[in-house]
This record gives sequence, C-alpha cells and structure tokens, in this order.
Amino acid sequence: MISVASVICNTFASATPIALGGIGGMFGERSGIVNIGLEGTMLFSAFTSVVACYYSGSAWLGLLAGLLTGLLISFLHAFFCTTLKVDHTIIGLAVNILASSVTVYASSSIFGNKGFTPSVEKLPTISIPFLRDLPLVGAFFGSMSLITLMVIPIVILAHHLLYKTPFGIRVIAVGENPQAAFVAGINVQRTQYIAVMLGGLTCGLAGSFLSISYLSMFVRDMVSGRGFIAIAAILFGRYKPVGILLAALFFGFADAIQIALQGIITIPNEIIQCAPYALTILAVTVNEARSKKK
Amino acid sequence: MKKLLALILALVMALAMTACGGNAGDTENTGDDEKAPAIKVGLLLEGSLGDESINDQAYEGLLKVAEDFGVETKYVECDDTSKYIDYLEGLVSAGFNVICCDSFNQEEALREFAPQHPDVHFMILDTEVSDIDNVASFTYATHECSYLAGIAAAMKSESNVIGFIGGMQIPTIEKFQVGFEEGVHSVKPDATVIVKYIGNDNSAWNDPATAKTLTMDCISNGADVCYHAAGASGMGMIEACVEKGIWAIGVNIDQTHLAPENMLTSALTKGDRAVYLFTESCVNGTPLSGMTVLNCANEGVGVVESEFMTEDIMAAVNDAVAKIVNGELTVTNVMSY
Repeated sequence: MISVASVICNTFASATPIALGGIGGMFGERSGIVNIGLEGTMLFSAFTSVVACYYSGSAWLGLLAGLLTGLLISFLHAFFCTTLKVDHTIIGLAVNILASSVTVYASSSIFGNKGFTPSVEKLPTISIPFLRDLPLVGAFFGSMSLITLMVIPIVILAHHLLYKTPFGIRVIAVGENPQAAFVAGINVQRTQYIAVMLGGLTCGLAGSFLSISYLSMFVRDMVSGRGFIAIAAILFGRYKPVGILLAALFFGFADAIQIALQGIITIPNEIIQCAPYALTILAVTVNEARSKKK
Repeated sequence: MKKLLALILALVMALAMTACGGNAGDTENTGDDEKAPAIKVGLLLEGSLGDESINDQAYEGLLKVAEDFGVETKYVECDDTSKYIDYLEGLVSAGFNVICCDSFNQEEALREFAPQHPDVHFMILDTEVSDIDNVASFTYATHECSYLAGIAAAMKSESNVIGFIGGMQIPTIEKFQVGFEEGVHSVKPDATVIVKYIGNDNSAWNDPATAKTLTMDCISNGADVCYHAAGASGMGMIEACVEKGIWAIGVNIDQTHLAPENMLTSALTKGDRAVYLFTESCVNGTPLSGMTVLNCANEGVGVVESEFMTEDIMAAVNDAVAKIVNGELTVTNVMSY
C-alpha cells in the first residue's frame, strides 16, 4: 500500500539537496559560469561537515565547515574559470573527480575506513506547532530537517537578490553579454566571483544536509548523482529560483513515488526507477518547445 | 696490462661468488628434500586494518591461524591496485608460502602472479578462480545466512511486515533476497516482505540517503525489522531503524557496533573462516584448490548470536542450520543454474 504521508516526507527529503544544489548552480549559470562541479562541491562539503562535527562534537560547526568548504571550492572554480579562463566543463569535471578521490583518501587517513565514517552529531530537527497535528503532512512537520526548513527562505532570498537588487541585475547582465556589461562599467570578474561563491554556499548547505542532517555520517560518493540532477533542475526550472524549486519538488516527488511503488506493482524496478529521468527528458522537451513558440 | 689484471681479478671474484651462491642454494635444496618447509602464512589486505569489514575479518582469521597452528604469519596493507603484485612478490621472497588475498579486486594481480610461483599456495576471497592449480577461491552461500536472518526477523517481528533493502537488483543481491524471504516464510508463511532496491548503477552501493528513504517507506508501511544487502548504503537503513526504533539486521560482518540497541543480528560471511580452512588444508599437506563455497556446513556463513536473539530464536536458527547441513533443507540459490 502507498503511504501518502511517507510519499510527502520522502518528496521533501529528496528535493532538498536538489533544490539547494540547483540554486547554487543557478547563480553561476546566470553570471555565465557553467558549473558541472556541483556534485563534487556537495561531496566535499558533506565530508568536511562530518569531520568538523566529529572533532568538535557540534553539528553547528559541522554546518559552518560545510558552508566554508562550499565557498572555498566555488572560489577555486571561479578562479580557474574567470581569472585563468580555463574551460568551465573541464574544471567542473576536475572538481568532481577530485572530490570523489580526496574524500576517500582523507576518510581512510582520518578514520581508517575508506567506505564510511563513524556516526556524528546531527543538526536538530524542528517540530512546527499546529502544522505537526495536521493529517498526512503532520509526520513531515513533526520532525523537519533544519536545512529543509531553510529552503523556502533561500529561494525567496535568491529570487529577491536576482531580480530586485542591483547586484542581481548585474549578474544577469554579465551572464547575458559580458562585453556590454563591461562597457556599461560593471566589474565582470568580480560579479562572477561573487555569484559563483554565493552558489557555493548553498551547494555546501546541500552537502551538509546529506551528511549531518538527513544522515549522520559520510559515505564515499554519497551524493550519488544529486549534483547532476540539480543541473537538470536548473534547466527544467529555466534558470529561475522558483522554477528550480518546483523542478526539485517534481524530481523529489517522482523519486518518492518510485520508492513507494517498488514491490507494489509487478513491473520491473528498473522501469519505475528510470521514471524520474524519463519524465525529465519529456518535461524539458515540452518546456523547450513551448518557449520556442513564444 | 693493469687493465687485464683487473679484469682477470674481477672474473675470478665473480666466479667465486657465483660458486658460493650455488653452494648455498644446494644446501638449501637438500634441506627441503628432507623436511617440508615450514608454513608461513602471508595476508594481503585491500586497504588497511580498522575498516571494520573484510580486512579486520581476514586479520582475525590470521590471528587464529597463528594461535592454533603455531605458524609464522604476516599481513601487508596495500591500497594501490597497481602494487598488489609488488606486495605479493615481497611476501613470496620473504619465504611466505601460503598467501591469502582478501578481496576480489586482487584477482587480476593474483592471476598474473600465481602461475609464476607454483610452489606457493594462494587463496582469494569472494571471487571465482578455478583454472589455476595453486589458487583456491572462496565464495559465500549468502542465501543460507540470509535464510537464517529471515528466521530471526520473522520471529522478532510483531507486525509481520519485514523490509529488505537491496543495492542493485542483480543476481548476487537477489540471492540474499530470496534466501531471506524463504527464511521469513518458513516461520510465518503469511508475513509480508517488502523488497526495495536502491538503484541501477554503481552509485547504489554508496547512496545511504536513498537507502534511508526506502527504509522510512517500509517503516511507514508497518515494517518493524529491516535487512539490507546494499554495501555502504546499508548505513542509511541502519540509521532509519535507529531513528524509528525498529530492528535492523546487518550483513557480511557483525554490524552490532553501528547500532548497539537496534541490531538484532547480522548475516555473516566469514572471511576469517576461509583463511583458517585454507591454512589448515596447507598444514595438513592437502592444500585446497579450485572453488570452495563457504556455507553452513563448513561454518563459513552464519548469524550473530546477539543479546537480542532469544533462546527460541537461536533454537530455530540452529535447527535450520542442522537441516541445511544434513541436506533436509535446501535454500533456493538464484545463482545456481
């Protein structure tokens, strides 16, 4: 039987890292920096969160470490892309490969285990009064991850930042036409640095969510493709914060449905499991076709 | 003239040296003929000790071997795939003549190395090598230990709903699943086993977040015991079990330390037993070769007798082990053709 409450909880759990990663990638994309290194950035952050948490015993310091790591990795990404003018895809790929190996190496030298780290303190979960008593969604609001709770404010903030502030307009201008922006007196490089690093922060948050909020440990390659799904969410959400959130929720929902249906309907798991990706291709195609018509 | 003298001198010295070397070799050989060389057991680890997994397990076997047979043992840690052969070479040249490799990742190196050293006996865990005379390979009857875990799960369950989380839906994992389901149904024919798989690519083994989500879904459908065969992803299942206060069943090694309050038992694949059996065969002068299955009969698989395994559960488990051993009971092995 499908448990509706479970599908709702799982939708949000699956959507959180995708939405945060997507928002992170979007800032870069909007300023003209392609970042396929979201996966690696998230993985680095997930790892440093656990290490900081392990040594300090405080999940808050773990969260801080995750954010700072996101900032650092995205700074490097911006440095290579804007200052050194290296191909963006190559750098993103390098970040992913580097993250996958460095975290395993560090894990084995710190914890003596290449596969996973010991369990650490988790960020607290929030129980929201009134909402937790509602049927169906009650279970979700009863023990909500702090980071999931932060997603909506972050999306609103990102929307505001991008469309209602001079900085956002500059980011868009730089991304659309860097030469024109430069002539108009905008410091193109600085704008790109700030945009990419802002994105690094939310990517870091996505990594911390996986390792010290949803789970309480680091497992090698635990991001498992969520960084790439986030890129799909950016495309699907048409580079808009709200669109990305909706896309992430859609992917999360598809995933939750897939999970709930397994073992219930007698068709091979592979077909159910590929549903989110098939739907993505379909949705992106429809989306593109519609935007071409306009 | 001086040069010629130097050359002759050098030649004489070289001859003398080779002669000496030859002599030393001869005496050694005659020694061998009289008495078989002492068994020296070397263990090649994939990675390092402290992994709470295959390495620690194999090392445990090595310690037991040293204790029971009084043989010299040594382990080497190697986490560089390209260096396995160098490490094997190091062990063999140091006189180790029984060599255990604890990971299927070492198979390629072993296939290249073993035929060059016909007088050394090798074994490898968790893979199938049958075409080299001096190599023994060990695989696990995972369906049997999963069956035992299924019995424990069914007897502990109050809701009669039990979860199974697999990594990828491939025969290796279906072997766990089918054995487990048969175990559950042997006790409670009407119990439900909810089977969920993580994914279709290799990331399925490293995706604890999805494993946790799958487990949460099982729990919301009433599961109160969950078993996994999902590698490191299984950590996510264990976390979900701890969070929701239900029973978890570990796999491969004793995973009790990961959730001391919730770990009902673990389905064991005992690599230490393989090291032991192999060394024993070498000590007895009849080294194993070809493929050996570690099963209930040779105590190569089993379940952990934890504090939560009550007497009646252990009785049922031991009864099933006895029946499997004497052939009264056959657990379906999806991989046997």
